[in-house]
Amino acid sequence: MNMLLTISWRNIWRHPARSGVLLGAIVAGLWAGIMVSALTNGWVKQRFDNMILEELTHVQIHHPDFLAERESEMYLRKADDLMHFLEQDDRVRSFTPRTLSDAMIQSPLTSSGVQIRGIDIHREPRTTTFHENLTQGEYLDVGMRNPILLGEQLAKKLNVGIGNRVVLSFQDLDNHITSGSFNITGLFRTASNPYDERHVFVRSDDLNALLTDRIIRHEIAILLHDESVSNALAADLNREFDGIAAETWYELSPELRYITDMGGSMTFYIMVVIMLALAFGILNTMLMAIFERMRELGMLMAVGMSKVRIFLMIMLESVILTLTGAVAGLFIAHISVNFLARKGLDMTSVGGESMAEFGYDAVVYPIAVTGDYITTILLVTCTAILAAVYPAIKALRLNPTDVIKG
Amino acid sequence: MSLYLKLAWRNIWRNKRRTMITVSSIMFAVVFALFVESIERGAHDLMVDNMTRFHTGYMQVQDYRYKNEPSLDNAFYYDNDISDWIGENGHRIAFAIPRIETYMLAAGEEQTRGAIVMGTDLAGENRLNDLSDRLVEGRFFDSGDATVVLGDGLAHRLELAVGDTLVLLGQGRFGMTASGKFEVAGLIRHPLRDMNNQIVYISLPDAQWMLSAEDHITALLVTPDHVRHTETVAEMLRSGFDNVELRVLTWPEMMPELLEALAFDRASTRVMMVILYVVIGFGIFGTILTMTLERIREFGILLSVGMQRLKLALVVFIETFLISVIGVLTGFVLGFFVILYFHYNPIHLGGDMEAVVQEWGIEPIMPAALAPDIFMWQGMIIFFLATVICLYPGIKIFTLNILNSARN
Repeated sequence: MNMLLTISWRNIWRHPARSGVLLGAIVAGLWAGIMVSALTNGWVKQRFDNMILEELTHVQIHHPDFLAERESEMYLRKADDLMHFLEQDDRVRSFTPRTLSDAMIQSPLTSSGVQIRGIDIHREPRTTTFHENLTQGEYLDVGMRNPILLGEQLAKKLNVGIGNRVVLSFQDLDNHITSGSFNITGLFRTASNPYDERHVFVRSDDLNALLTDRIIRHEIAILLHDESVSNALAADLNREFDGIAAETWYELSPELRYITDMGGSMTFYIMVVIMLALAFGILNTMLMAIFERMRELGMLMAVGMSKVRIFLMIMLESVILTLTGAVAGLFIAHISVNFLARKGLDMTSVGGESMAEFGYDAVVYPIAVTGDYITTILLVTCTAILAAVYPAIKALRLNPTDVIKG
Repeated sequence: MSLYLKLAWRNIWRNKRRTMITVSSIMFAVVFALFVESIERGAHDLMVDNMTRFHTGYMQVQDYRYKNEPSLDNAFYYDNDISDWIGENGHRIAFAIPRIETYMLAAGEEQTRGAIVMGTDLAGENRLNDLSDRLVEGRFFDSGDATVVLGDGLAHRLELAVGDTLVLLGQGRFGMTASGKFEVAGLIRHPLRDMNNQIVYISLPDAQWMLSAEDHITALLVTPDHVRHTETVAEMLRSGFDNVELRVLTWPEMMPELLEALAFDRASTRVMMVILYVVIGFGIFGTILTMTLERIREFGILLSVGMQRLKLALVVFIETFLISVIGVLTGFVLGFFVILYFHYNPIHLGGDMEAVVQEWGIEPIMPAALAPDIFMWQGMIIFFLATVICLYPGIKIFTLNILNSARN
């Protein structure tokens, strides 16, 4: 074994160029694998920053029937206990309670159906980034009575602007129709026009006062430090409290789920293809190298080296090359991920400019975690070693007399 | 020139095995690139297809004011002239659905709720999104029989069952009062919770009558025979309705958030493709380099017997060029069959997603798209990549030390 190792080692360095290109292929494979997973992580995070942070958040708590029925009466009975629980939980980054109601909005010109979102003006901006969508005017923390934010689209439809008044009519908790006059202080625009047309934002206290004399909350939106614990937190909440339904973004937004999962599957298949491409690259190069070395291998057989040993020798060469390549690839991948994590990868040149129109950042920052490194190293090493088996078997089939003569 | 070509051609077949390996490395590169691009395209086409079916359709013809002011006052006159025109000119149009849509109050015995009232043509909706399959109870209306079908969420909120009477109350065209009593013929379950709680389907003539909007619709949904033809068909419609006050909106204009998601995916796939090219490049380079090393002695001898470096480099370049051409072409053939296979036997999305997607009535699959432009682009890219790599033997020939290499 020791002798085989020495022979393999020497074989590698006897042909530095050939070994170099195999090494290069493995380095490239490893680099590619780590880049793919790091970039995917970066994209997932970016997507969350844009879609989750805006309003949805990771977990939301409602009355179990609220989302289906949307009755004002279906508020969270133990909102204070829930909020206390969330304050104690260190998985929670921040949370914000909301008071909601479906209403009719009226301007002098026309009327329309909207969902009123009564938000906590202190907690909401700390939890979501919705306030960044404000295009004109001021946020709800102005000194005015009953301020309201409208989508630009809705304002256009109602033919109103900042400083105008609109009337909101809805059922209060006693099932009486109640109305309130609100002053438009700001206009917003999100990526979705239908959303802008159907949602208005007011202070939760203002809405609450019209609904009932108690403080009621219909929704608590929770932002976590780490998305991966969403399910765990939702499960904990559902176990701890009766009469609530805690759901993750995954359950709350089937559309987002469809789009995200589809993207995830794509990345998986790209990874498979990259590994296959790597395997074929190595296979071809190894195969060629074996044919080039036929004479040498035939000679070894002729002087009495057993087939098993020849096989082992070739495999050992591959293993040594792979491991060296893995170390080098890891190093290079680590450097490039770190570099890009600082500088960002600008996607404008590959069609990212259309993303900027939606307020997306066209620069992606890759994030690599230890698990990705380990998976990729295992994947590349296995691929490389498996790819070497066929050429090695091919070498065994050699007929020593033929090759030496030829 | 023909001498070089002949020499190169002979060189290629002198060592068949070596040629085969080099050809195969380029061939597989093409197949991989084609596969990734086709799967991406296929997945996107399917996403667009599914999303448009549940929401807006691929494109809509509307009054030019309707998008900013979606009121019945901005409905447009729709009669046989328009449908005939589409029938004659729209060879890329699969079908068109007239819809009239408005927001009204819906009431049962005790309860009243806001509802989206959708007057539509059932046959068309069935072709677009299999509406009839979503029926959970009762039957669907016949055109003009004064019955409605509502989302079971809304029915639950209004405490209505099949056979009960639904009252619709609202505003018709130009401020006319609109109201009607309708028998509930059936209940459907809309996959989107929001819609399920609000939707009332009614036949187009009934809706037009109730809303004082005879022969008027708010939108004509046009479905092209293929998602790729959306823009072509839209252009065709635009030119056709040029002098009328109509506007053609395509799904990217109606669903910017989907476009956003797609743009994001596409940009990320492009980055992945670049990474794939790096791996592929190394694979091809490996075979070309090994080939060059193997032939150093041959090159050395040729040069020492008086072959000019430039001529030798030219012959070798023609060789590798031909190999690249063969590689790309065989890659097309193999790639075509691979894509054809995955087009008809799409990859199934496993696990969680399968259930989710099925709940929506969407097939949980990722089919490969068969698109000629993918072949053209990926073929060109890999060919370019291979040609650049094939410059290596030439460079080697120019820097070769004749004495050392011939002796080796």
